[in-house]
Amino acid sequence: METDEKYDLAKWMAGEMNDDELKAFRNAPEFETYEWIANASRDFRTEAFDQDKMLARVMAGKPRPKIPKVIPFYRSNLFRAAAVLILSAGLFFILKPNPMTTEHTAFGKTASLVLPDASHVELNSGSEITFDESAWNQKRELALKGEAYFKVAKGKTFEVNTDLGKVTVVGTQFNVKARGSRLEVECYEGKVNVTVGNHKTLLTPGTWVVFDDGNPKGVPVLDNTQPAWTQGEMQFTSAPLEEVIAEMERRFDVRIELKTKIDKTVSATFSGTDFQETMATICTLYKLNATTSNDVVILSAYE
Amino acid sequence: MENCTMGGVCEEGLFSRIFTQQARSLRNYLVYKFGDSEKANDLTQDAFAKLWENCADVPEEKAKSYLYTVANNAALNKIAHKKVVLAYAQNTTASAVTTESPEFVYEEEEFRTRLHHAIGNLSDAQRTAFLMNRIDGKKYHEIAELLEISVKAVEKRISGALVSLRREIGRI
Repeated sequence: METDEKYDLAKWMAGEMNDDELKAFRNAPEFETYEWIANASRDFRTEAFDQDKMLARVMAGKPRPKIPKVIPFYRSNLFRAAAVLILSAGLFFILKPNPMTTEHTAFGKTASLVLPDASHVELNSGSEITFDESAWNQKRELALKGEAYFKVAKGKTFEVNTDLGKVTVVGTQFNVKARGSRLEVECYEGKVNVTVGNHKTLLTPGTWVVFDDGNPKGVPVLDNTQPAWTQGEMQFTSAPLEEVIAEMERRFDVRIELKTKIDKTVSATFSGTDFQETMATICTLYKLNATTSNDVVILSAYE
Repeated sequence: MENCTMGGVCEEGLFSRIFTQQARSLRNYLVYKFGDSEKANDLTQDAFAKLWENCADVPEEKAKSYLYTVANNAALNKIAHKKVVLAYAQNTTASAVTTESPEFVYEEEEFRTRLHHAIGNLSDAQRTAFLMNRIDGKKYHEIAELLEISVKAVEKRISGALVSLRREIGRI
């Protein structure tokens, strides 16, 4: 019997043998040689090399920018509209007993839809619209959860119902965002009526309104001609951090956990296509630390 | 943006830190494997250059195995193996030995030469695992992680290396 098979040499060299095993091995005739090998081999060295010089050479190159995760919808408008139309036609037949048509966007995706009267709807990430396609010509009415930008074809009243209030228009372009307890309506063209409970607001082009828990927050002036999100951006006005994070989760299809309480609100425009950049800006803005664990981004206060 | 290292390793401080932590052991690993310091240096530099180029897409925790994979792939079939050349460190164990008799010192030298030779004769797999443990002081589970093999496989290589070395240098 050879010593080699009798003793677990790897275990011995890692110092993991127990006392009995070690005692037995020490008595083996080869022990001394092994001990000498283990010690002597530690004294070998490789040739020195200039690390600083190598690092300088490496970093002389230029990093390649990250391939954006989210492709703005307008790059493949036609394809998506066609796909959605085909899909909705299919859904319409499959769900025949239920005449309602539902269009839904997953996190990280946006969609561009054409309604039966050729009105356009751009659906932001994690949003849903439901409408009765067969009754559309009699009544232009749909239900919205989330955020959408409408370019309404001329015609009769167009109605958007949300859990937080009702938006009524005639031939116009407007954006409706109904998230959490906050309803935002932006008017880009024509006139928009917003009804929340007993409260009615008339928006003219270039104005917008916010309702938080049903309370109006004034009618500020819009500084763009189309919603920022349709331009690949995320714009916030006096928004709490939680809202920014919720929007990031939808836009980038990531999970973000906020481990600290921050009361500061933010008015800023972030990139909706470059996750790294937006995350970095938010970290700096709020003095946060970002770590990833099981695909969840954890934000905690920075010491 | 030091505090925001999400996803990539493009932040310069972070990248330099990874370089400082990993460059020597990656380069040593390649020396053990191919026996050629020049080639090992080139491969190491190329691997880090590639990591830098793709820094936005490589998360920090993947950077280590990314480097080893890139270096290994670049080296596939391209490198003629040379015999490993190592130097002795003039460290405490060596100087303690000099107080011994001249005969002992001579014998010790003789055995070291044989050990050096025997290390060169090990299989690549045995030699890399053995020297990563001995020279770089890496634990078996660290070696397993870098080479993407199991800890059991590392232990097998280490034991195999010890047996081959003892057989080749003979009894002290």
